[in-house]
Amino acid sequence: MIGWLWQRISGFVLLILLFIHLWKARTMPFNYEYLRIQLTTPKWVIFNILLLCLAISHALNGLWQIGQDYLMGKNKKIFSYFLLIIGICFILLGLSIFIL
Amino acid sequence: MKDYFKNLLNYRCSIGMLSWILMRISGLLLVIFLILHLWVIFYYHQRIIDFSHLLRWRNMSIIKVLEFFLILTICYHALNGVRLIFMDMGFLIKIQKPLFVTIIIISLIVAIAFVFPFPS
Repeated sequence: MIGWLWQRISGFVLLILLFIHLWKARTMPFNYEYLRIQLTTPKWVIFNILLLCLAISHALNGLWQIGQDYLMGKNKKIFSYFLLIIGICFILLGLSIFIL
Repeated sequence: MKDYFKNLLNYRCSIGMLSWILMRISGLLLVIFLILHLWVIFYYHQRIIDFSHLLRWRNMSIIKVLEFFLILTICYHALNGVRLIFMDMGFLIKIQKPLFVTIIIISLIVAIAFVFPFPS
């Protein structure tokens, strides 16, 4: 139930955020300056981190729901922990772009 | 035998089933894209020298074609998600099938508009 609800909420927020993300990618000239602004301006850093966390949680929640359909018993639990570890790894990978 | 095929068409090949399976496939494709996207940004961020490769890639026509399909997938997934939210809340259930066709047409228009340059 909470997974279902989170999928709806994060999906709706992602719809707005991705629209802005794609609008920027479409209208601004794509060069190194563009990436530098994305990674250093505080407004866009918060925007991108929010986008990253919501996108990864939405994606892995979707994979978890597919797993609920096809897996049984113990495999379900192993799959859940596997997704949790993958999610933490990808969020750390994404955050390292802003920190390093 | 005739009844079997009739029932198969009724519940497997309905528009609801088609939208469900397309939603699942597009979701899986977007997960693959998200991983590639993060990996590419990470890679180019670590090696700034190679950034010119990325700029050269963006002008290739194959990338434009893939971009078209990417926007089509995102747009379908997003709009069908909105349709599902409305249906879960109990709205628009009577027009869900025409709405599905509308969503596909809107996705195609948006994808074409994204790939081709603006007229300005």
